[in-house]
Amino acid sequence: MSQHQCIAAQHDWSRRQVLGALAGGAVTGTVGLANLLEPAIAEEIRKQQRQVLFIWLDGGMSQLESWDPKPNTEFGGPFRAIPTSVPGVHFSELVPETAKRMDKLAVIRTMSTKDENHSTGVPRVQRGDPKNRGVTYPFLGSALAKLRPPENNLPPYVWIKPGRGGFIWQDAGFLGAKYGALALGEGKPPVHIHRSKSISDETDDARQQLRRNINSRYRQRRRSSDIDAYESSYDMALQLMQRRDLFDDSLLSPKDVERYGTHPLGRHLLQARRLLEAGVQFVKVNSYHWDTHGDNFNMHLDLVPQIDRPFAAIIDDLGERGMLDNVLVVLMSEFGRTPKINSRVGRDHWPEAWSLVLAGCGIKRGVVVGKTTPNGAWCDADEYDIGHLFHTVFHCLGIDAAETEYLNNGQPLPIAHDDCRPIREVMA
Amino acid sequence: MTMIATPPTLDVTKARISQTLEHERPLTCCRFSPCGNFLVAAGQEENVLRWDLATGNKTALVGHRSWVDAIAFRADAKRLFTADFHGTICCWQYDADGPTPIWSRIDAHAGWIRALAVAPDGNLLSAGNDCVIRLWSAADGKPLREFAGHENYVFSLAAAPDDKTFVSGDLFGKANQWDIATGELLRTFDASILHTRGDDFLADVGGVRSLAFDAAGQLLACGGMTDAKSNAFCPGNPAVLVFDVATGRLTQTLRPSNTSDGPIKGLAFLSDGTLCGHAEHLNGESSLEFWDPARPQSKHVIKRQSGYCLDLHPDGLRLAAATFKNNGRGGNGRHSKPEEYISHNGEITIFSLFEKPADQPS
Repeated sequence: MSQHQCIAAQHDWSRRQVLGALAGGAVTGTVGLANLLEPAIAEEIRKQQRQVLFIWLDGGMSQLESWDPKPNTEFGGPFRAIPTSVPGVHFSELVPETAKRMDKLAVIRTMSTKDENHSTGVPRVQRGDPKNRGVTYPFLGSALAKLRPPENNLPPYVWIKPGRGGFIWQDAGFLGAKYGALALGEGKPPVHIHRSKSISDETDDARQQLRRNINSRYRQRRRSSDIDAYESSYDMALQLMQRRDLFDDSLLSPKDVERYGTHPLGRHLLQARRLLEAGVQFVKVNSYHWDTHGDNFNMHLDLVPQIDRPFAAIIDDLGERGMLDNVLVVLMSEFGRTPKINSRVGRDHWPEAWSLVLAGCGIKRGVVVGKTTPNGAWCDADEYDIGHLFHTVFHCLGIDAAETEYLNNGQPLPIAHDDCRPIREVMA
Repeated sequence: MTMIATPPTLDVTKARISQTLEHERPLTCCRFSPCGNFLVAAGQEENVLRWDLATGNKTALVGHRSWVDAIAFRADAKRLFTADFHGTICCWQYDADGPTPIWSRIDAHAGWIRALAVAPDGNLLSAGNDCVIRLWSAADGKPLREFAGHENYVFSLAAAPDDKTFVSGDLFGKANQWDIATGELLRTFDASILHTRGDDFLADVGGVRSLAFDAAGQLLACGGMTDAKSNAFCPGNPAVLVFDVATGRLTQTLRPSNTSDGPIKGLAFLSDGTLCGHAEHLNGESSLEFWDPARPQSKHVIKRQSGYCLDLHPDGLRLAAATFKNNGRGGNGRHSKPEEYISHNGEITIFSLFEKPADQPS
């Protein structure tokens, strides 16, 4: 049995639907689900290929300057609240385009998490913070690569980020490095994606076979995970070489470029749309430098429009393409920002009560979940930790987190925090 | 025989706190009234505060709907002008018992108004995020002229002592000098080192956050910070650039002697030519610095909290600073009881810039 594999509904999109075919027993992780299922069910899975767009504003966007404005209150800041397309729901004036799409979104205003530090908060949130089991849990994209291996031959977990790219095996945690993220620095394809014209198909096949043979020999006395990761990253590169069109900016319409914006978030979200259209299962888009301890209001004045416009654009585009039924969109940070304003007119870290936005697959549209106290400092309704969000995400993707477990060296491990549950109010 | 009191002599080395005015919200701007009897301040709330300096009585001036960060006075008609982050300007009679706006312009600018100044002809200059400077009739708020040319937020305004021109400072570090009568852009002082845009920044950081002319109009000081390291904490090196107005040449770059990481937001020239500056600082003490503009080293320093604004009293012997005052728990205030989670305070610190008379109680 493989060292890193799931049990029960590890590969299914709906445990209840599939259990019959699986006879309720453990399944070896090395056999593709489609091979085990009736053709009709396999086809249904393919039809219901679910994808995720995970937008991460690293450092912590202020909830007060976005999804939970409190104008003319003690900590409210100088910005206005504006109406959205859902009567009675208001956003900050800094997100006018997203406000017009509120009828397609769900906002949770009572996220209350634990960590107030980036170094622990980012991995805790993106790993879903299951109880401490003595293992390092996978980031969400890696978890889905394991739990729902895509039916296509594209990398399952692509991370578009500023700076350098590469294969980020660390995201995979105990699942094994091959479930790591293929990071596209600046949204660009991996280097050397363009095979030299001097290398023929036959030569290329031969050298790939040579590589596989060497890997196979090397694997014999070493942990398979390391080789898996190497093989996986190489295979991903090969797959992407077949899809160079995904990175050809000349194919973009000038109108789309204008709609999304030429700043990094705009370019990266437009690239994310192309990858989702191509069928990539999980696309994460990172933006850094939202940690506005200094000059919070001047900075949010310039930063928030950089997510508002391209976020509205991608919601429109996914909707127009009929993809919002299959693509789950998550827009969040590791925490919010303090209501209290510091000596540099900044806001500090605030995990006590903050907001995030969901849309798409399995998400109720036009709802606000929870409310905060009038000064914005505390939750004034049910609080939700990151474990609740992971249960919700898994549910929306057809994975029953209460029933599905990982199996790590014989140890069953929950895929989401045992004490949490899906956030029903936000589920369609 | 009648004893005639000797007027105090300006001596910044003898500067001391003579009065403090505290408020339950941070205050980011302050101005003495031309008569010297009042101090008006504003900051992170909609109300403008007026203190009677003799009694300490505080009066709220109610009329704005957003934070107010720009104040200007016109002496002859006892007018006070205030402007907010929703683009509204209000005009008040500053010594009225219960002031209400004499006139308001709710659409004076698109977005934040960051600076006001009274022009030599008594009319009002305003500037902010829409990059346009506007001249308004002080009498009724009617628009008189526009000054277009900035390409980013305008943070600061200063009327020149020549009675003909003014200077405006923007985020890109341009300090533009304008002809008030014609609207013509006369020249630009290059303060671009006060602006930083790193390769990985999401926003421009810095700018000319404060401006001051010396009394003779020979020197122009531009306050801000250089070398910002990120657009998140926005830490930088506070600096004042001193320009020779006649030549436009940068003659001195002044730095605070005490560690601060934010821009110089308060600037004022004293009658003896001393330049005072106050910087923002995230953690720990900032300082009120006194420089001879010809020398890089401070000649006197008073350690204080993060500061946002300076203004010189009409008597030339008192200086007001709008400063941050930590209230309650430090840090981000997590784990407070909800009722204990309250805003930091603002403090107006008034410094007397002369030796304390021997007969005054300590």
